[in-house]
Formats: sequence, C-alpha cells, structure tokens
Amino acid sequence: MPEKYILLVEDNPDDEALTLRAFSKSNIGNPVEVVRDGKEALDYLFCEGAYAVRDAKHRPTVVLLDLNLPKIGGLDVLKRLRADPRTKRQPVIILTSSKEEQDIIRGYDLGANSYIRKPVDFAQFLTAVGQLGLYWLLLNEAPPEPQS
Amino acid sequence: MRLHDLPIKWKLVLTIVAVSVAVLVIEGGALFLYDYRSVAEWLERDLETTAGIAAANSTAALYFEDPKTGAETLAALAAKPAIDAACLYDPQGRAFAIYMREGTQAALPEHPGADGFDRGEEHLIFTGPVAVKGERIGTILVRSDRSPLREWLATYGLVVGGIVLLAVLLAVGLASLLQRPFLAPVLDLAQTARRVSQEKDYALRGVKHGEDEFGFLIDRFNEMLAQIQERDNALVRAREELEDRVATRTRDLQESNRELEAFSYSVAHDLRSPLRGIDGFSLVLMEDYGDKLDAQGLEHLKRIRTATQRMAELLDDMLKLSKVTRSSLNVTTVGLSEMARSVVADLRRLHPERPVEFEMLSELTVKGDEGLLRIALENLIGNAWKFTSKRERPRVELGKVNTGTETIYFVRDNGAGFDPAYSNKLFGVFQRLHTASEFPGTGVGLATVQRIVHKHGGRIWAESEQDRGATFYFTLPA
Repeated sequence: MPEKYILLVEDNPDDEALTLRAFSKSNIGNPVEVVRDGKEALDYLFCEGAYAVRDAKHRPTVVLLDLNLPKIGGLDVLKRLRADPRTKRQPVIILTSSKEEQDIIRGYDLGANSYIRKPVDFAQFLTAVGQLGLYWLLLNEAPPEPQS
Repeated sequence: MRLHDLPIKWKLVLTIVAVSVAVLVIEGGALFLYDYRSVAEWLERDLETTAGIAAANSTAALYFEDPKTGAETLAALAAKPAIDAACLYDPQGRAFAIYMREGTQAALPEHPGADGFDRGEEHLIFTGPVAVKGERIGTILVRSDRSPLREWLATYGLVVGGIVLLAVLLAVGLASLLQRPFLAPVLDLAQTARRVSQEKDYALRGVKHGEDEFGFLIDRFNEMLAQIQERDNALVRAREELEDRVATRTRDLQESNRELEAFSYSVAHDLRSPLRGIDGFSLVLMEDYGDKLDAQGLEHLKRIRTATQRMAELLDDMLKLSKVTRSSLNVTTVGLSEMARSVVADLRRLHPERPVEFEMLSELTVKGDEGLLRIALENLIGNAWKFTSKRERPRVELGKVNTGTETIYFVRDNGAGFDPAYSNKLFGVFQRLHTASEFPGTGVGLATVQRIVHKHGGRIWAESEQDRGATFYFTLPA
C-alpha cells in the first residue's frame, strides 16, 4: 500500500509555505506534492508533460485546489478532472481566499468535495488545515481505483 | 340614402340631367305655347275666312229667300274636313239653311249668338254677318270641330316628350362619360391617401392630372406627404440615434460594472493573500523566534497581527457594501418585527453578558428585499447594541410613526449618541464619529444601510445628542 499524500495546487509561495507549516504544526506527516499553476496540476494528475513518467496508479488522497491560478483557473481544472473517467471521483477541496457566492456555487456545481475559505488569521488557518488533514487522510474512505 | 351620401359620380349625373331637363322643359314649353297660339289663331283665321267666303256666296240665296241654294252653298264646306256644321239665319234669326256633316250629333243653336268667336270645349264657332252693300241681310254660323287641334296637341306632346326622354338618356350617357376625366384625380387621390394610411409609406405621391383645382389639391397633398416623410425620417433617425446612445451607455455601464466586479473580486481574493502572509509569518516569527525577541518586539508583532485582522475586516465590509450596491432588488412582503427578533437573538448569543432591553410596540410588516433589509437591520440594531455598551440599563427600540403621507420606521437607543454637528458624515464610507478604542467598527455599516434604503427609494436620517442616545429614521416606499 503506497503512502497517502496530498497534492497542493498553489501559486503563492507565501501561502504554500504557510500551508506546509500548518500541516507540520498539525502533525500531519504525509508528503505534500506542490504544483504551481492549473496546467501543471492537470499534467500531474493525468501524467502528462513533465509528469509523463509518474506512476499513474499512485493518486493523491486529496487535492487542495486554489481558484485564482495562472494559465488555467482552479474551476477549469476541476471541470476537466470531473470530465475524465480517471479522475472523476478524485477528492478535491477548494482552498481559496474567495468568499464570492458565485465561486462557491460554481465550485459545488462542478463537483468540489468541500469548499474552505482561507482565513487571514493564521491561527484559524492552522486549525482549519489540521482538521482538514485529519478528516481526509484518516477518516474519509477514499474512492476505489477506477477500472482501466 | 341622402343626397350628400351619393357618390360624386351620381351627383354629377343628376345635376347634368336636371339642368338638361329644366332647359328642355322651359324651351319646349315656350315653343309649345307659341305654336299652340299660332295654330289656334290660324285655325280661327281660316274659319273666319271660310265663313266670309260662304257668307259672300250665300247673299243671293238669302236675298231671294232660296234656302235650297243656301243649303247647296253651305254643302260646299264639306271640302273642309274640320268644319262639321254651318247655318244661315235670316235677319229675324231663324235658321234658313243648314249644313251638317254626316255623323255629326251636336245640334246647332236655334238663334245665332253675337258676332265673333265662341270658343267651346268641343267646338269653335264663328258667327258673322251676311251683308250686301253694307246692309245686313242675315247671319252665318260656321262650326269647326276642335279634335284636329287636340290631335295636333297630342302629337306635339308626344314629340316633345320623346325629345325630353332622348335628351335625358343622352345627358346620362354624356355625364357618365364626362365625369371620368373630372373624377379621376379625386379617385386617384383617395386611393393614394388610403395606401399611405394603410401601408404607412410616406414615399407615395398623388398623380397630378392637370393644373386645375384638383391639381392644386394634389400638389398640397403631396407637400403634406413630403413633410410627413421628412418628419418620419427625422423620427427614425432620432430613434436610431437614441438606441445607439442607449447601447453605448449600456456598454459603458456594463464595462464599469465588470470593472467594479473585478475590483470587488480582487478585494476579496487578491488583497487578502498578502494579509495572510503578513499574519502567518508574524506568527511564525513569534513561534520560532520568540525567544530571540524581547517583550517590546513581541508586542510589535502582536500589533502587526491586530492591524492585519482589522484590514481583513475592512476588506470584508467593503465587499459587503459593494455586494449591496450590485445586488438587484427582489421585493416581497417582509416581516420586519420577526426579522428584528431574530437579529436580536443572534446578538444575545454573541454577547450573552449584555443585558439589553429590546422593545417593539407594534408588529411591523414592510415591502422590500428580505436579504438587504436583514443586512440593514443587523447594522442598525447592531450599532444600537454596540453604542449602548457603556449604559447601565441599555435600551433598544424598533417602531414606526405614521405621518399620514408615509410611514417612518425608527431604531432608537439610549447609548452614546453622536454630536449632531457631524451628522452629515454619519453615512459616509469609512466615516466614524467615535474612536476605535471607544467603540470598534469599520465605518462601513451605516453607509451600507443608506445604500439599502436608497435602493428601496427611501430616505434615512438620524437624530441625536451627545450622550443622549440616537434615533435612526428610515422610510421604505418600495
């Protein structure tokens, strides 16, 4: 059984560092893979481009997806994941600054599993990330591997 | 059908026929009278001459008292078919010799009347003297039957009647023919006018047939059409221009709306990220390097984090304000009292330690947007809650006043109030009349409330005195 890991899609290095710190502060030791734009996220998940040699069977347990991303936006990434049989059940959590109702509605319409707004207060952010890791890595039962 | 409603064609025909008949009747009548008199006169003259001749021929018979010769002389009158009887009388007035056409019934008078004509219904009688050398020796009476004159009259009437009939027919025919060139311009004009009004085609023009009055009428009609066409075109141009302008404005408006939305999104999303960095790394500093900083340094970091939080709140409030501005009005019947109770319940949960007395004397129902009114009430009651925090017996009241023309709602508190000198700043964005250390806040709340009330077409104002509480009034015409 390969190790459970998290894929973080985040273009802001500050947010990346703080998210990683939040994981370690919350005692989540699982590895975290980081991609920095929507195109890279799709390449990673579909094993294309720079990630062509990646083991496709080894999927992230959960994807933390920012919305405001370079090249391909977070909602478009989500739409393409849901449209592909390989990734349609991939747990995806939208983790973003936006509290726009439109973003929340579209996120859920496109099949997001959860929508979390990053609080400005880092202490709150820590709590949120800690609970999130605990829930998705330990409690939640992952979807079975799609038949290929 | 009244004469006025007859088609012009028939009016014309009638006129011409009437005129023709009138002329014929007058002319025919005059001619007839003249002819009748001439014929009658001639007949009388002829009768008189005949009687004269017969009298001259009868002198001998009378003179010699020979009735046989007299009768023979009178019998010569048979040559004149109109004469049906004649008689010679002796000087004593006794009938001396008589001529009576065969088949004649009417008897002759026994004695002659006075000399001259007796114009009877059936007969014309001439009585004259029979004289020799100026001495009267008897009287002659010649009677003429009137029937030839009557026959003549009948023939004459028939001819005249025929002529009149012919003339009428000719007049009708000619009138029907002649009215065409006369009426064609009018009918054309009517046709053109009908097409113009039906097809709304102001480019049509009436066809001119000549320079007469109809020509003049058609010219004026065409001028009117040209003016209407010009105005119509101007109207179309104006409308197109207006539509263009509206389209441009709409585009501009949509553009600025998009910009505003982009800006709001930016406020909500992009401006928060750096704040998170500042707060996050301040905390990292405190946690990882806390032992290398003195109390002062740690205090500074704390202040950085507080300021960051405050900025995040400002951004959130700004976003709410822009949302209120952008949202459309969905008007329904809203239970204002129920909503107020729910807002107060939320506040009591948030601040269980505050013993605020909330009073509402009547049940209030308004027409408005439920979501927006909720935001407005949250702000107004929330403010009252906040500014009564230093009172021993804090009171908040929601009520209404009817002025007769409108209903004014109010939220009243017995809190800190404000200096009325600055009431004009009350509803400005980021305007605060109290320091943050006295009462926390961003200065966006009342600006938001004002926009909501204005969106409902209402007014909002406040009355207060420093330390004597404040009352916020608003109307909701929507």
